[in-house]
Amino acid sequence: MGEVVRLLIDLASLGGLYAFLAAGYVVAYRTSGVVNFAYPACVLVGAYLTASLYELTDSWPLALAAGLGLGALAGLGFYLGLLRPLTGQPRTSAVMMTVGLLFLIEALARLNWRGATVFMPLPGAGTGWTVSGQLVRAHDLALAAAPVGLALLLTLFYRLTRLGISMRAVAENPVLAARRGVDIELALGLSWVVATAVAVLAGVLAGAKGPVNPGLVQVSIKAFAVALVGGLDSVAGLVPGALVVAGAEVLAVRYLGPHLAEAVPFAVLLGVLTLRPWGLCGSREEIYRV
Amino acid sequence: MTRALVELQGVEVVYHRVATAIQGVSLTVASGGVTAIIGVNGAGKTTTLKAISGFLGTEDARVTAGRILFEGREITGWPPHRTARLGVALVPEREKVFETLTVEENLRVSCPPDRDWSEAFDLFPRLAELRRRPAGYLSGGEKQMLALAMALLGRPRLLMVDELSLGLAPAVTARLLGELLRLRRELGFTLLLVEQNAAIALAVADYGYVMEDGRVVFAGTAERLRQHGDIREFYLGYREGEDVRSYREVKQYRRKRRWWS
Amino acid sequence: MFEVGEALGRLWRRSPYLRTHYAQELQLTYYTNFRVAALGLGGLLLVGLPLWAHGYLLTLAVFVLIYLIGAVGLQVVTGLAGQLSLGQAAFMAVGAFVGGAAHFHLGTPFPVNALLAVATGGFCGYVLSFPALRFRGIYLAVVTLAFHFIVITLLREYQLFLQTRFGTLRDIVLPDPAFGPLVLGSDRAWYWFLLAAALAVLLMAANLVRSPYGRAWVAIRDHDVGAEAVGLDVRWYKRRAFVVSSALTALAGCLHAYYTHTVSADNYGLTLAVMYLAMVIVGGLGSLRGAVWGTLFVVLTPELLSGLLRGTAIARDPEAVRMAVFAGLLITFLLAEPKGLEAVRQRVWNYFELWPFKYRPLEGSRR
Repeated sequence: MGEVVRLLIDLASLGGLYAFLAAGYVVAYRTSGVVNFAYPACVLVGAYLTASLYELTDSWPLALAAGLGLGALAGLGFYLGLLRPLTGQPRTSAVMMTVGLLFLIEALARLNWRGATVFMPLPGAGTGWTVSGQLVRAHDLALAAAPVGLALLLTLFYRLTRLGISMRAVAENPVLAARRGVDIELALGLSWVVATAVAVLAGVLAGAKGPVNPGLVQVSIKAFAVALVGGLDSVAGLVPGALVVAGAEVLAVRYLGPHLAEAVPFAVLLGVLTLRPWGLCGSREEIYRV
Repeated sequence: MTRALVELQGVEVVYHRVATAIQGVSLTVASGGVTAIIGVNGAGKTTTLKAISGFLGTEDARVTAGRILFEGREITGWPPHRTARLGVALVPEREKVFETLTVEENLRVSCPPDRDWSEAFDLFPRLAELRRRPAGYLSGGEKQMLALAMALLGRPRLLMVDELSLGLAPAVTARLLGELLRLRRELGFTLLLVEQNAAIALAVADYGYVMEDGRVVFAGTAERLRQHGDIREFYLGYREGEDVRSYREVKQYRRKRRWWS
Repeated sequence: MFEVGEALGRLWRRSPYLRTHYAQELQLTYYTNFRVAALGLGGLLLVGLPLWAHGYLLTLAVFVLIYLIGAVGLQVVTGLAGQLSLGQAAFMAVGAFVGGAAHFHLGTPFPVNALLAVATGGFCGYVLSFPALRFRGIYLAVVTLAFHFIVITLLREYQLFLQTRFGTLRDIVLPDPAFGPLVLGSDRAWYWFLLAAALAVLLMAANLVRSPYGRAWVAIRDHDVGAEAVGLDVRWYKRRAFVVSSALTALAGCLHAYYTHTVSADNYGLTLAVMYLAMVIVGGLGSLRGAVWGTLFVVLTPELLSGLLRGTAIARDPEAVRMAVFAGLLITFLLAEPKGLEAVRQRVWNYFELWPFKYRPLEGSRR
C-alpha cells in the first residue's frame, strides 16, 4: 500500500512539474506560432536568478517579483532584438534563432553560476504529512495544484479576453490581424514576456521538487515531450499529457532503473505521435499548418 | 463628379527590387460610390489595393514612383496601422478569416474596443447561427460573409474587396453583393471592388478601370465600359454575329488595337 | 587555318555559359582556365597541408574533415530533401558504438567495422523514417529529437552494461585503424585518408544532387504535396534521404571514435546535433559547398575565438565560451545572412567573374 502511495505522490509531483514546465512551450506556441527552444535555459536561469535574488533581499515576495520582472524584461529584449528582425522569414528561422538563444543563455548560466546546485528556500519547506507511511510534503501538493491553476487561468485568458483572442489571431495570421486593427507588435512582445515569466515561475516551482542544478535543462526538454503529448496548441492537454508521461516515467524508474527511464518520455512521445500526431488534446489542423 | 476619396497618380510598385508589378497607374475612387477594377490574373489589381492599404512591406515591395492620396493627404508608403486608422479596410483574396478561431472570436478580434461586436449579427444575421463554429469549417460564402463583417465592424471609410466572387457560386455571389450594396447605402462607405468577374463588377459599379499587365488601359463610367466593343468581347464574353474568332486571331487583334481612345 | 584558329580560341576562352557539346552539359562543373588553375593550386595546398600545419591545427583539420562527412549527410536530408533532422548526434553515436562493439566483441579490422557502422547507421535511418514520414517541419524535428534521446539512452545503457560485465574501467578503447599493412597512426596519415574519404563523399553527394534522387528531393523540399501529385513516390524518396544521411553520419561517427580512440555516449549530446544544423545553416542550406564552408566556420571559429580569450577570466570554462561563441555565430547568421556563407561567396564570386557586367545569368544556365 505504501508503495502505491509513494508512486502516486511521485506521479503527482513530477506530473505537476512537467505540466507547469510544458505550459511555457504551449504559451509560446499559441501566441507566437514559434516553438521556443530556448525555454529550458530560461527555466534554469530563472531558478538560479530567483535564488540569488532571495539571497540578496531575504524576502520571497521581493525576490519573486524581481525575478519575474527581470524575466519579463529579458523576454521583451529577446523579442525586440532577435525575433522581430526575422519577421517575414519562414517560421523555421525563428525556431533556429531560439536554438541559438538556448545555447547563449546556457553558456551564460554556466559562466555565472558555474553548474552550482542551489537549494530553493521556498516557504513551507519542511512541512509535510505522513500517509500510509510515506511522506507527503506540502511542496508536492503545491506542485500538483499549481499547473491546474495555471491551466485554468490561461484557458480563461485565451478564450474570454479580447487580448487573449487577439494573441491567438496574431499567431495564426499576423498580416490579417494587422489588417483588422490588432497591434501585432504588442501581441507578439507580450507573448514573449509571458513565456519568459512562465519560465521563471517554472524554475521556482522546480525548486520545490528538488535542488536546482543544470539537470533542470534536461527536465525541461522532457517537458517539451509532455507539451507535444498533450497537444502543442492545447492548454487543456497539459494536465493529461503530464499525467501520462509522468506516470510512464515513474513506473519506469521503479521497474527499469533511473537511466533507462530518461528515454521514457520520448518513447511515449513517439508512441502518441504515431497514433495521434496532434497530441491528446491538440487540434487536428495544427499538423497541416506546420 | 463627386469628391475623390482616394487618388493614385502615376504609381509604380516594384517587388524584390527587380519585378515591376504596376506602372504609371492613375485612378480616382469617388467618395461614396462604387468603383471597380477589372482585369485578368496578374494584371496588378491586388498590388494596387496593397499599395493603398500599405501592406507592401511584408512582401518586399515598394512604391517607387507616384503618389497615393487619401482625401488630398499623401499616404504613399504609410505603414498599415496608420492607413487602418484613416478607415481603410481591405478584405483580402485568400486567408480572409482566422481559421482556428470561432466566428465569435473572429468578430471580437476585429471589433474596435469602443464598439459592440454583435453588431455584425445585425449586418449578417446568418452569422448568428454560426457563432460557435471554427471559421475554418465555414463554407466559402459564409467565410466571405464573415470577412466582410470583420472589415465592416471597424466602420471603415473605404472598403476594398479583393475578388469577392472567388470560389463562390454565382447565386451566392449575387446575394452577397446585394447585401454589400445595401450596407453601403446604410453605412455610407466607399466601395472599391477588384474583380475578375467583369460582368458582376460592371453591373454594380459607378465607375470602372481596366488593368492589363500592370497598367490601366481603360477607364470610364460603368455604362461606357459595358458598351465598349473590346471590353464586351474580352471581358464580358459577347461575340458579334456569327463569326467566332479563333484564339490565334484574337491575339493578333489585341495586339493591333489600341485601348486608349 | 581559320578553323585551327577558331578551335584554339575556343580552347583558350572557354565560356561557362556557352555550351557547344552535349558532353559539356553532362559535366559536373565547367572548366575555364582560371578554374583549372585554381583547383590545381587549391588541391596542392590541401594535400600539402600537413607539411606546414602541425599539432593543434592539424588536429582541427582532421576534425573538420570528419564532421564534414556528417555535415554532407545532414545537407542531404535537411538541405536537399527538406526534412529537418536533429538526429545527427544519435547517428554518429550509433556509428561509433557499432564500430567499437565490433572491434570489442568480434575483433574485426577497421574496414569491416566501418562497413558495419555504415550499414547499421543506414538501418537506423530506415527505422527512423517510419515515424518521420508522417510529419513535417517542427514536428519532424521533434520526432528526430525523441529518437536522439532514445538512442543515446540505450547506448549509454550498453556502455554501463559493458563496464559492469567486463569491468572496463574506461570505455571501449580503439586502436589505430589498419588497412592491412597501412596503419593510420599519425595525424598526417589520418588527414590524407580523410581528405580522400571526404572528397569521395562530396563527389558521391554531388552526383546524387544531379541524379533523379536529387531532383526528387528538391521537389519534395519545395512542395511535397505537389511532388506527390506529380507522381513522385514521396515516401520512398524521403526514406532514401534518411538512409543515405544516417549512413554517412554513422561513418563519420565511426571515424570519430577511431580517431579519438574512445567510444563514449557522452561525446554525442544534443549540442552536437545543433552544431551540425548550424553547419548547414551557416554554410547555406541546400548546397554542398555550403556544407564545406559551414563545417569550416563552425569548427574553427569557436576554437580560434576561445584561443583568443585564453588567459582571460572567462577562459576558466572553455566549454561555456565555445557554446556562447557558437550561439553568437548562429544568431548572427540568422539575422544577417539567412542564406548562409554560400550566398555570400556567390555574390562575391559573381561580382568578380562578371565584372564589368552587373547582372547574373538566369538560374540553371550555370552551375
